[in-house]
Amino acid sequence: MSEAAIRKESALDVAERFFSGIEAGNTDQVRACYAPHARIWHNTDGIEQTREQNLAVLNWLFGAVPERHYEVTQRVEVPGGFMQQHVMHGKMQNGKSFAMPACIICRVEEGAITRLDEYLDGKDGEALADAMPKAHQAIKTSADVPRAKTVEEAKAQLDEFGISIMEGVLNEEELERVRDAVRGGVERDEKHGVQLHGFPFDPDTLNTRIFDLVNKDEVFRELVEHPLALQLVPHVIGSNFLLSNFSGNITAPGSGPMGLHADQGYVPAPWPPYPLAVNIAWAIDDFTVECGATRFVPASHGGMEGPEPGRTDYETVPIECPAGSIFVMDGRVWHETGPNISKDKTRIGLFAYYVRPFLRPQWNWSLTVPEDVLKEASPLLQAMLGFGDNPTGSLNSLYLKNKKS
Amino acid sequence: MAYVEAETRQPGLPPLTRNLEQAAQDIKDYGICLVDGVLEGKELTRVRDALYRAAEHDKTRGREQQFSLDYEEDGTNQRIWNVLSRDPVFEDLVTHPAALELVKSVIGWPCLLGNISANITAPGGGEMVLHADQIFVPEPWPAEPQGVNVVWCVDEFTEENGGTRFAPGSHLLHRLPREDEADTPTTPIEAPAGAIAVFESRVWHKTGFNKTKDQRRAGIFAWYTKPIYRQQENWYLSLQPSTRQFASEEMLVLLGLKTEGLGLVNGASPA
Repeated sequence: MSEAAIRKESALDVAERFFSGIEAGNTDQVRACYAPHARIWHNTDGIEQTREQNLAVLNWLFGAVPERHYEVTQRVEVPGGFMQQHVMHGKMQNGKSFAMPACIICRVEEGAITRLDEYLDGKDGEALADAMPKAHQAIKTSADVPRAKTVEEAKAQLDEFGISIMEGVLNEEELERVRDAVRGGVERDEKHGVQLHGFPFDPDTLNTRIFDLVNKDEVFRELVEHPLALQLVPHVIGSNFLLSNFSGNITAPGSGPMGLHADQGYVPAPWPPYPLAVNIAWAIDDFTVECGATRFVPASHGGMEGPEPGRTDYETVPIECPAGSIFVMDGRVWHETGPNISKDKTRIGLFAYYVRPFLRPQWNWSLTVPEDVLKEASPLLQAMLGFGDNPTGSLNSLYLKNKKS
Repeated sequence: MAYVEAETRQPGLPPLTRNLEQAAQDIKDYGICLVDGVLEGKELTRVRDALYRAAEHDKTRGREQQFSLDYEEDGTNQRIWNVLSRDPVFEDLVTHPAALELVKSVIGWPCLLGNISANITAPGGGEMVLHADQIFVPEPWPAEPQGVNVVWCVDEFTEENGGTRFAPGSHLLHRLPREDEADTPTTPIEAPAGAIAVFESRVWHKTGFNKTKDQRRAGIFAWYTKPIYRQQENWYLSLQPSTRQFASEEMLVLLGLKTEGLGLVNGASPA
């Protein structure tokens, strides 16, 4: 059947395809039943899942309960969707059987489920719900934010949580060198009248934003190419990537929160089920709640869109780490600069933002990188700044190639 | 062929029109429109002469570059890059009111000029691989097309001389062709010199075979995208400086020199 024909299905056809997909353990079939921005809710935990989060749970279910069957009590079309009452019979891997009564209400638009509310009933239902993986609930406080000791651990945490902290990357001597370069850069920008405060994305004029770090000092170019960055960035967005921006934010006492956003927020939704960007944040001073540590929404990287503009009731968790740490964020993670509620503390954070090569960088390196910096840059740095092969569309190796070569 | 089922099927390409509202509707229905008489008389001659002159320059200096979607063994068709820098007459094509009106109807404003290049097919020239121009946008694709291509027929486009071939309606499938769909039936653009074809970035197409004995056929492809995508041509490095010097506001936006949020210099728009 063509996809266009599928769009004309009734809500009941979608229901049939959806439940037969779950019975067959066919993730792709189930995914195709959901609209990209679908939300899935269960009475057992009251959490709204995104499509991919729900598919992750279903994948777990397919493994843990190899035999599944729906005994449908009633399935009726209702305005805007369908309702189904059923008993799910399952045989778990340990041989135990269960029967779980449930009621599902689905909103269906243009042949796809946009919202599913499921009420599970009975002891079996609760037992199964308890056994389900709850990665998205795991991070509740600053202490829960994943910390990695090795690169491999960081990669695994990025896959699961979209975020990972690594402490002790820079020692005190290296930190002093970075701080000096930041101070020097701010002084130079002040002297030249370069804007440092009150950008449209900041709530007030207290924080200091310093841009163009790549061109400001050698130490910043070293950070962009730090061995850890060069292992973690390709893990998240592939080996062909661009540096989109490298800037600093020095929070000042009394400054407000930035406003929740995802770094890849300018890419129209639905986003693909993998990140298009990654941010490596360098904590040059201690990141504490007091001095405005970056805050994020746990599990937000599982979605296919950014936070709803204007909505402020999301629960955020601070990313606290000592000076010399890095924390890495998947481009889909919803986050913001925290408010600086201290009386007299500032903190420097540097943000190296990398993107897949078809996205336009925030900073125009072609017009800004001086000749001498470019000449001294490694081939990799040159490529990151867009001076290598033009990789637009390189996902499908759409390079220009010279006829003679 | 899977794609021809249901309402994606359109019988052939829409007819030539001079009505831009009809043309915009054709893009919605077929993924492509054909507009007649956009370049005429002396203007068309100037464009044609400038393009063939650039092609000749590249040939004599050995500067021809192939495109990776062209077939490897294809040594006949000629691609000309950075057309915008080759002669001021091409600036007029990039900002031509009729072309821009249709571009804006597909991807809105502001948008970027990603590339403007030419393809001159020649006898024996081979086909290109069937593709959609937004090949680099990861699937699932956003609801709206992310780019639009304006083909300037510098010579008459016919089936025999390798007129670009389209799978009309394939944009409604909202995805790239799969490997087993490479042989999907296609219809060639047939249009007189001076016409334009405007097609959105999701419609499947390819260059056709040039089956003539002695005809070269030139087409200029101006590719526009939404402003979040990296331009294929790096105008900041390759654009002839006087083009920037005399650029209109509209042209500055298209080149990414008048910009917001992305492509900044010292936190501000370069122009």
